Amino acid sequence: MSAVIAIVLVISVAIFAFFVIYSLTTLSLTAYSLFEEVHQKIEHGDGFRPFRRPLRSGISLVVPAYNEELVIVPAVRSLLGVDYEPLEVFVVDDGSKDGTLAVLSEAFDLRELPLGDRFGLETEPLEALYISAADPRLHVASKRNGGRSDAINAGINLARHELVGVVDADSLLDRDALARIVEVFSADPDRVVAVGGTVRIANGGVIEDGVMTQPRVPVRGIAGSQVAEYLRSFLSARIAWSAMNGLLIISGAFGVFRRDLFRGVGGLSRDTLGEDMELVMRLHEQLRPVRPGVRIEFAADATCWTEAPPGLRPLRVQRVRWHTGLLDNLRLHRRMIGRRRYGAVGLLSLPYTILVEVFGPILQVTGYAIVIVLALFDEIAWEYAVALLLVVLLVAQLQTAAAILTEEIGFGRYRRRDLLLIGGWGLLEMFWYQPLSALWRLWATFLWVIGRRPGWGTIPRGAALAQPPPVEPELAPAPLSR
Amino acid sequence: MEPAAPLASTFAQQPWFWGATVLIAGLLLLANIVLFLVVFGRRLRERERARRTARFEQECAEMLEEIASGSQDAGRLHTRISRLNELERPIAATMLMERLDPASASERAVVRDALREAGAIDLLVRSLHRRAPWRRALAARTLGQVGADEAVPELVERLSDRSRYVREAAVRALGRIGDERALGPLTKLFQRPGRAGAGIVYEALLALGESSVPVFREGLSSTEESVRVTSCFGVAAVLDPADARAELEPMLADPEGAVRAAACETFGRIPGETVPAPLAQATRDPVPSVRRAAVSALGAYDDPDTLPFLLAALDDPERDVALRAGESLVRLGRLPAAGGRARAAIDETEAWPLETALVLESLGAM
Repeated sequence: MSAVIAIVLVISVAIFAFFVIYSLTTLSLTAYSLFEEVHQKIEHGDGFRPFRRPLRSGISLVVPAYNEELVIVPAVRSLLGVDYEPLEVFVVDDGSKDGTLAVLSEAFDLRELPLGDRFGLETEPLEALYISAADPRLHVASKRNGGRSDAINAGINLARHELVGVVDADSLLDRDALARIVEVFSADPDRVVAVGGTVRIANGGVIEDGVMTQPRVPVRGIAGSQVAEYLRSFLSARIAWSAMNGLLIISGAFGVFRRDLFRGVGGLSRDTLGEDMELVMRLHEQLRPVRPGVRIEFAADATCWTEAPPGLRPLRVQRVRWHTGLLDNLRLHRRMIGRRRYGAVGLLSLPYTILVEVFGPILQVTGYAIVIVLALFDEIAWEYAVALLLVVLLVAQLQTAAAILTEEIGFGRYRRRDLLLIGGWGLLEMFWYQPLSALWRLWATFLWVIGRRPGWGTIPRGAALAQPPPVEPELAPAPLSR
Repeated sequence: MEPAAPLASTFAQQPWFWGATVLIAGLLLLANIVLFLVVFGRRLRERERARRTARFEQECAEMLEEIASGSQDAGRLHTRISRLNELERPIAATMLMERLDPASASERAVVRDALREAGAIDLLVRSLHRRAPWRRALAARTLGQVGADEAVPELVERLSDRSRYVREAAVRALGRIGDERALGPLTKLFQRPGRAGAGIVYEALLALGESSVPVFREGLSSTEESVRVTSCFGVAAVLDPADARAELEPMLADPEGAVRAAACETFGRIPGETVPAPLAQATRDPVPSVRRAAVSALGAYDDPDTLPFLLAALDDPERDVALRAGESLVRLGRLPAAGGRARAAIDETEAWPLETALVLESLGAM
């Protein structure tokens, strides 16, 4: 029995130590990102618009699409409406089983082009290539199904501009998103090799002509909690990691890369579920030793709106996939851990990710289990537990509050009511969303250890982004037949 | 299981434990409250600012109307401008810039004289020294838009501002004003890239016209690759095409691919009657970006000698080079001297890059 007690004690101390380190590091990151945003505000003032650069590069946007018939037309219209020239858009239909290609053909008057040959990256074979007669900047390729990475690599093979962007089919870009992202490349053209934009949640927002005009925070908990989570993790934390040049991921939903380097390192991997993160880690691993100044940046003001999984089941599928991808990538690129030649990636980002993302869920779920067991045996020191819970809640809420302030200072996209909702969801998620998320990640770790791969799963699309159908004019009643 | 809970209980019974807990929780709670107060306080302030801004914008529009028509009373305008507060000045400057953006040189001169007489230019020059970088940048941009040549020395000083945003605003302003006193400082900035965007300095130098010719000529032999690249475009933009081609020909043999590619691209912008041999040879360069630029450039030369090179480039190992070769052949087909032979070659050749180019042409996409 004493051994069990000793183990419980050791685990409890480990959990406590983890909590202290986690709190200090995440709060430091949040404070750093807040500082960065305030600094940007002092530098640029309100309503900053990037200068129009005279020698700016063209961008080829690649949009992988698999069974996206509900959202693909508004998404493409939104991309073609982006305020950027020169621009070309390649939609790659990855063997969809629905009418993705048909709706595109109808909406954009597609004409067939010869397929040709000489594709640099190896992919499943292309079946057809089209150009839009309505807007020749739009190309559509259809190919045999090979997965998201394969579709993107096929699009990169066709892309002709110096910069290539990857945008998900269930996403919308702000009109100035590309100009803002290219500003980061133009400011330091010799060193910046990739730039990611901010991904925000579109659910509940008002979309007009393919543009998010009024983002709103959904009242439903699943999407609402994700807004708070995206603000903390996809905005606040990435501002800080980018400032340290320690960014490990550019979201698959919206990122821009130098085409020669994207192809040069072999394109997206088809062997991992976290292909977007893997590419960024590969760029760090291959480029930093030979070009120490190389930078992978985050453009916080370049915004992409995406549809968050609306239910628990699709959210679980997504999170298990993300976590498996993370574990794959940490294993694949373990060589960088703790190595000075990889700069902040080796010394800060990777150790932090291992501590928080790999050990975090294990310790978190173990902690919940210990509390439940002790409660069952009526062995909980309630004063201690309540005090600890209070501090945990306050730390989490402080992180959310700082992320809200960063958002407010830098962007001010949400209404006052929405900010209150974000704060509310940030507080409540500690009791259901965080434990669930930890459980899913632990499950993903278990599957990964025993060598079982989760699939991509299917996430229902369309509710947040599909435009309402045009109202048909009311027809006069048909005369009664005589 | 007993000792685990008692250990926690023992902690919980210690006065220091509660002292520490209350202190940490209190600090965290206070920080939370402060952050939320800042968020919502900021919201209230922004709302008030928006209300005041809307009111002021109407008043400012009237004032700008008076200035533009030249019907203002200088004394009264001076009083109005000097009374503008911290919120109103940047709004007035921004509105002034938007108004002047489409204005002609003579309209700009009327506004400049009116502002000068009312003392507004002096105010803007003083604003170049404000603490907030965005205010310095705004002042620089406004001075550039107005064309205030008396501000040139102060704007030159801002080229060494600690903020890149201010430096770039000053570069643009100097380009807009187009005063030759800026040539030396802009040249230094051009020759040592990194302090301001190369494209922005390039544009400012172009605005100085022929005075910038020696800068770009000298830039062709710079040790900095990016300076040589930008100088290729500069030489093509400011020199007579024949002189520019003579200056640029040696750049086709530059050791750096990026420079050779830039040189090829500029040859396409200033085509002569006959294609230079090194440009045609560049279609076989080992660097794909050079071949790409060379093949595109050949499409601008109304010279039948380009045909064999373009036809060969249809088989280039790079897909994009082959596509550009097809496009160049189709373009060549529209030119008077080479057009006939090019069209015949197109009819005889079966190659998918050519088919693609013909579809693009039929859609008006070329």
